Amino acid sequence: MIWLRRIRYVLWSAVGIAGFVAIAVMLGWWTVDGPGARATRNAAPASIAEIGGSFTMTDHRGRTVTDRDIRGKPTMMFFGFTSCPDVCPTTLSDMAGWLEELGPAADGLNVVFVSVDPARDTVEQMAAYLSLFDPRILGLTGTPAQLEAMARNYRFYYRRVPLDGGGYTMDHTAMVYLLNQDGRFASTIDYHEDRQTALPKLRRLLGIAPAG
Amino acid sequence: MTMPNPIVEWPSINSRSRRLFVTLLVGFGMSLVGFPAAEGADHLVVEGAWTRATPPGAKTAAGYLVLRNTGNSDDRLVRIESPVAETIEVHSMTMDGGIMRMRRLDALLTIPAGGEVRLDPGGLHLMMMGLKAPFRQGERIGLDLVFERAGRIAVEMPVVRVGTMEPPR
Repeated sequence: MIWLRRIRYVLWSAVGIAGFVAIAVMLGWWTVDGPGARATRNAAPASIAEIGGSFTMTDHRGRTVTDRDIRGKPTMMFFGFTSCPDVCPTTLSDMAGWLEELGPAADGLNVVFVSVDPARDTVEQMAAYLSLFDPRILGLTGTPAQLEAMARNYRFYYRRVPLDGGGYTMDHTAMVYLLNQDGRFASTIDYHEDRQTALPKLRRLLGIAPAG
Repeated sequence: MTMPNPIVEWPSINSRSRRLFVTLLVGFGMSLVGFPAAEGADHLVVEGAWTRATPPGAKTAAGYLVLRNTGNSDDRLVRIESPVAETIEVHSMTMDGGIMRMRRLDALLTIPAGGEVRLDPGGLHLMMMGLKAPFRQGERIGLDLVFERAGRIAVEMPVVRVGTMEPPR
């Protein structure tokens, strides 16, 4: 009856393997998606209507800026980092172009560039970087904790990604947020959204009639 | 010739296998010496290279160009060299759900025979990291592209205004 015993061994090992797989899957689910998942700062906007709230950061002139400082005027807010070669300088340049087209009305708008790379984007670095763009753009940086707190309230995503040769890059939300004068979410301008739609959005935000 | 050739005489190799073996051997030999010299460097054309001025303090820049392969064999971009940056790699940029991601290409960039590869804003780009000095509008940035078959090709990239999305004409 050796063959019977063999079958028993085989069956019991199958049960063991199946049990192991089941436990592994449960554990994986628990830690990644389930109740054991780490509270993540990377949550995509669950509800964009909830975007907004408090923050405390440091601007590119070294002054402390909080959400109270941007109340009373609508705000155009963008997230990026100064080691970003394409999207960030392009969007900052787009924003400067929109300000120009808005003319004097642009003075009724806060324009904020939030660094998602506080390790490299010091106050001095932000100041140097922004000197190429419209002086009305306010650069914000802060401690990692300050950034994390702001990302939670404003529901933007950022993640540090190591590069093979050393160094790192950042994945990040690259939409322009439009906030109303109470600091609540109004709308977004997507990357490379046409001027034809970006400017009317800004005029609506500012409560001014379309030009022409 | 009294000594039997061991390969020819080996009984387990039939004549078809032997022919295949010889063909592969010859092919391998040609691939070592023959082909790279045969086609020369002029099958690969680099066009429309450009880059943008960088803000003060910026350590990275993106370069764009078109690689056209007029030859009959694929070619691959092995490396990029320039004194202007510490490292230059080919990176991809994707935009998904409003989130921007940049990644180094896993494999060497292949330029298919008779085809072209475009490095344009919003997609593939030359990622120049560790800039020695800011790029100023009006300058020209020199770099060398080294291809597996075409060898080294020197490229000059005019520096245009920040925010530019189209290659300069």
